[in-house]
Amino acid sequence: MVPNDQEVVTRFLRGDREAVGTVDDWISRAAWPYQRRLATRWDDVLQDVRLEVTRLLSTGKFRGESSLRTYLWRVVSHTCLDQIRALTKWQLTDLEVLDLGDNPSSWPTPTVPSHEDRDLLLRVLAKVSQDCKELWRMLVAGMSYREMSEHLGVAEGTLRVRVLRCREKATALRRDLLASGPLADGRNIPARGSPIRSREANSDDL
Amino acid sequence: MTCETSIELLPWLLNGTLEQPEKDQLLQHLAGCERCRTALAESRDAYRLFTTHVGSEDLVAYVWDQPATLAAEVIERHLAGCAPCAAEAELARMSRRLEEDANVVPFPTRQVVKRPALVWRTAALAASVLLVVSATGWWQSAQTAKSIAQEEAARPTPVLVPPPAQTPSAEEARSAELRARLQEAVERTGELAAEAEATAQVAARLESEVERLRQPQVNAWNEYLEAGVVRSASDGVEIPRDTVATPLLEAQGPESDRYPTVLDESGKVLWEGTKPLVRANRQYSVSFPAGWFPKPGRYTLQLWSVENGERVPRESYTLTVK
Repeated sequence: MVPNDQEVVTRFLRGDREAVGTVDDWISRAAWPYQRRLATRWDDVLQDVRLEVTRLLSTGKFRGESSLRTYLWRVVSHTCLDQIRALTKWQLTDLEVLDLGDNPSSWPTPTVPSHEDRDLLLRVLAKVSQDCKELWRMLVAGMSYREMSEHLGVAEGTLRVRVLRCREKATALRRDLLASGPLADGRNIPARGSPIRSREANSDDL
Repeated sequence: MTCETSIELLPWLLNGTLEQPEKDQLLQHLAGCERCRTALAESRDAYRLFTTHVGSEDLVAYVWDQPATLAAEVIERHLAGCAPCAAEAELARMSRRLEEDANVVPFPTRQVVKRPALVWRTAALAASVLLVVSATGWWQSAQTAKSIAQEEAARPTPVLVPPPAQTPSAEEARSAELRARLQEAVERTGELAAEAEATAQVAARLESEVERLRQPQVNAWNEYLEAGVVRSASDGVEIPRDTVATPLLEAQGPESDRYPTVLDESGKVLWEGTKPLVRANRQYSVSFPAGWFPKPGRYTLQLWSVENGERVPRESYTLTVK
């Protein structure tokens, strides 16, 4: 670890003006590309980024395997990307408030996918046709079937059947990929922290 | 609601855009149908699938050429087919470039205006000042133009001497270009006018066709279309008023063309068909559009033939419209 980096972290956490200024300059510069997408709440975003940086540095997540500058640049980037995604996050109808008869608790509730799940889902998604992805993108964006029918210029019945077929194909693809096993489809499930790429590992926690 | 309809509507139940009556019907169906509840679970899985993206930390790691939890080819394939993630990757690349190259200077951050009311008032004031200045300037120009016109009118008219022939100047070339464009615009206007005329003629023909179809149709019945067909070999037939009605009638007299006329109870002619009724098996039909008869009641369908140039009454039928 470059001694200056640890010194900067210590001084920053102490509130030293110069260290805070240096880190804040890095944050502003690193976050600049995301500003247009987050313009309506930019001040809040910068504050969230500063809080995240402070949290990570104060909990010792930075271990010096990259420069402090690079580490903070990546923290700023993924925090800003999370903010962008939060602006467009879709809301699934809360099924718990629907009266659906017996044993509603047996239904699966949405969860953040684990790494393995996400890997599988992305592989399934790669095999789905672009038309299907487009249909479901509109659905997830909250379009009614009438709006989608008008937008696409197809009858409502035709549209509903197409969406159903896409869902069925995606379900079948997922089933096939699961059945073929983790190695047969070329998936590489790395152990946590081990490098995939050929470059030197950098396992600073983000 | 059937299971087929229910299953088709599930995605829109999940995205919350079903209208209330439809939603209530669907929920009622789901409450009692396990098959459709299973389909609902599959639809929720589909939502998970189609809202799956590369995680922000993996995306940043990929852009920084660092190890990620997902394989590189998985990330790359996703970016190739997901525009939002690809756009986010570009933002991250831009950020990385700012880290690595101190010579790249981003534009200064625009300050958010905290007092929009003040901005609007200032803008309104500036606009009104500009308006006053512009109006003043226009008035002065108008006055100047007027005085110049008065001076010109008072001056004796000079005799114009044609200039000697010379090579075309830039102004003349420009003038020729403008004349050519004007000519082109005039021709295009003519073409558009012709197109509008043709479209109007088509519209008129369509309107005329629509009007024709609003009248009773002779021999328009297709034996494969049974709707609204009423068979009768007697002189009376009941037909509904509010749907298409096609009485099938049998010829009872000599074989010759028949021309139909429809009269109301008072004998007033409501319609005269110009197309003859002719069918090889002695049956013929007249189709009455829905709502054609003015009101329920009795009407007469009188058939005529033409012999030696004169109309001869033939069969007549009483139509009781209900």
